[in-house]
Amino acid sequence: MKEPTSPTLPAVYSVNAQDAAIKEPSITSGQQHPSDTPRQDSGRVGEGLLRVLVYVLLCLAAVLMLMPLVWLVAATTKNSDDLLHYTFFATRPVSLFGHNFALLKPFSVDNFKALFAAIPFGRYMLNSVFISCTTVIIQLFFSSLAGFALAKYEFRGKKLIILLMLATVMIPTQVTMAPLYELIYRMGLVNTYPGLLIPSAVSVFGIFLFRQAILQVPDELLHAARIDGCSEFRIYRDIVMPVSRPMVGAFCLISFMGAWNNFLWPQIILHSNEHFTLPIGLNTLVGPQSQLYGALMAGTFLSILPVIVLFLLLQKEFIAGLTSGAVKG
Amino acid sequence: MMRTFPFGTAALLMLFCSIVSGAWLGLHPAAQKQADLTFWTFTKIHYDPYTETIPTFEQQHHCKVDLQLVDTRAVTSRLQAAMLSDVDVPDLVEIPIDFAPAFFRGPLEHVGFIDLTQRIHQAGLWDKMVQARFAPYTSRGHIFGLPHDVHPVQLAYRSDIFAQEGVDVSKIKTWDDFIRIGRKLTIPNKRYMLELYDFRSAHLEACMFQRGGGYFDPQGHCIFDNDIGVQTMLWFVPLVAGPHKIAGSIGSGQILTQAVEDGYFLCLVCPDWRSKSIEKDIPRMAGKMKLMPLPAVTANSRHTSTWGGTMLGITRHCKNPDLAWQLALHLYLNKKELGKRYEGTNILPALRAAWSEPSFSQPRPYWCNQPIGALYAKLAPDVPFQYTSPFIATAKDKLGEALVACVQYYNANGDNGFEPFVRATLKEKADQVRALAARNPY
Repeated sequence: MKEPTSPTLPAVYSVNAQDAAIKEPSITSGQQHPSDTPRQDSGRVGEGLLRVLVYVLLCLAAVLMLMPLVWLVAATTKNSDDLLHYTFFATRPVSLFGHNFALLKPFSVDNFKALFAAIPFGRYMLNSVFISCTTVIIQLFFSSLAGFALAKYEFRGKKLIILLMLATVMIPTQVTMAPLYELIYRMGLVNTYPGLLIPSAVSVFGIFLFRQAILQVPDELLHAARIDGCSEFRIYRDIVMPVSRPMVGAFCLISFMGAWNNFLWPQIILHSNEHFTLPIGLNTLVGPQSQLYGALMAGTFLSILPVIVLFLLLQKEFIAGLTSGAVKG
Repeated sequence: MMRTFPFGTAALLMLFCSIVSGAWLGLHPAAQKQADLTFWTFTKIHYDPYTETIPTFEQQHHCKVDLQLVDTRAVTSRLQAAMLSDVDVPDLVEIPIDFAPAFFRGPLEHVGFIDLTQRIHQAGLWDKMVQARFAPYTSRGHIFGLPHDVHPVQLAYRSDIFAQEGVDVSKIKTWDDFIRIGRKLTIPNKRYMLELYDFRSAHLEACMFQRGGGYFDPQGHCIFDNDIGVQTMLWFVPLVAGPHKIAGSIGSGQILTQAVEDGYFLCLVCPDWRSKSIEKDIPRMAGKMKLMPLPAVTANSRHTSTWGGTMLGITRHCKNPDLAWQLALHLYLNKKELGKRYEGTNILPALRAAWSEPSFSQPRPYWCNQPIGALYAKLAPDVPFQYTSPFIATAKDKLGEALVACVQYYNANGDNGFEPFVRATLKEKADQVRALAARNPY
């Protein structure tokens, strides 16, 4: 069987076709269109002002959104004396030509030293990487398989299964904690990695995400593959999944962030320091009677780096996945 | 590889990370622990010194102790889940004062902790420790926990500003004296005499305890709407609200540090544990801060109160309660260890004999060379009794709600109709606690 390819779009939906269909007057050429009038000019000025306003608002929103991150970065660079004294970066006064200026103090690495002295950060980081990545892989496999079945197969009780799955989404996780804990204990999985991985192996959210994505795959493709003698699993592997790749990217990132930031269940199931994930490990730095703020900030900063790097690596797929199906027609 | 992998780059990257990290973790597995006793504690400032002292106990008793650091919230959620499902329950647990009573509900024989009353009396601990500190861990006359601390309350103040303003602290005997000076020093929106929460109950309850009141009586009945509660609220609210307020709250962390450094707050309510937090969080005020006893309500009444606490309990699931009890005594009665622990935490232990250790009388440069351990120890015998109930968390929330309502009323109406409003609000909130307690099948 040939390597499957993505179905090509009809010519009417191609970018070229759109370009051909919509001929807008050039605003970059500097030449006045014969039909331009003063009213149109004032309309353009208004449009330009509106655009400036929008950009100003967007910049303000961006500053607001970035403020906590800048605060976090600033906190990691200050020593214990300056940590809570300065709101952002620590400064020192400098007198130059009779004027006083505030210069940034040299960045301190004390908080990182304190972090690595207080907790086995590397071990926690590896635990988090292992748990999060493995959770994503397992969830991806099971969710996409289930999504494929629910999207492309007709069988008795399909609607009931979907309803039941929807019902489980409506049950708060906290309600199931005690029985789940007992179940995991009976299985001998308390304080183990499988104790974290097994309960999160299947994601109802993921199943629905993939079901919706796979519904868009034309049935003709699947029929053609079957005529060529392709097995059902191979159809899933070689046709359905490659066509749904943008959704896979988005799901990976969403699922990774969920697993990376997961706090409640790991906190209940993990008992020994050697198994702690980053959120649990970092949480030991703050207690009712002692707070190692500097170390906590350094740890938090390091713990968000992998997520940022991952997003930068996968942003194309992530955005493609999120926007697929956003435009109807 | 990337082209043939059906799930795309993202999944391939995840798979690679999973395999590499899994391989490393597989090559470096966690050590298997076969412990005779499992012990949970919730704070690193307890955990670190325990890791140093427990090996001595293990040598003496030829046993293995598995000490685990469990987050405060997890102590309650995990312990509750463990006790309800009857699985994986630790042998000993340290629990904060606000969460402990929730475990005392139900018939006595169903309480998840062993009744320590007899052991405490037999070991003479009732007389050796501050008796008031057994009250929060007592239910229906049975003691289920050993007190870790006393947590007497003083006031931390900016001694440099007080000196500039000519305030003689030794002349502040009562709250009336304190308020009189506070009115002089307070500059609205620039400087306040005292940091007091106007949105939650922690400081109000300390004042209520100082006056002999509380949330519950020894039988566990909700009483915060009694006369002491009403009088405390009537006195407290004008301090934090209205045109003549001398106190307020601003938040915690960075903003509080800056408020103290800038002289926005001149005094802070300061139990022993908070004195360590102040040292760490406001290091620039070293040599500018001092402690003074809490002003008394009347001339001859107590000069302290209490805020916070921890108990050590032995669970009913413990297979070797005698060994667990020995560990409890080892941790809580070793004078030298307690002295060392005090240096790192500023926390006064409940064992009176420990207070004579040299570390408690050492002058502290941060506090203008005051021997703060000795100062707290002097007040410790006067720490008020603090009775409790499984509904303590709700009672605290409700008192906090009452405080917010009273502050809003006072800001809008002043003294006009304030007392009836306070009485009605406290009664309404206390009735809600009583209704909840009455609904309890136990």
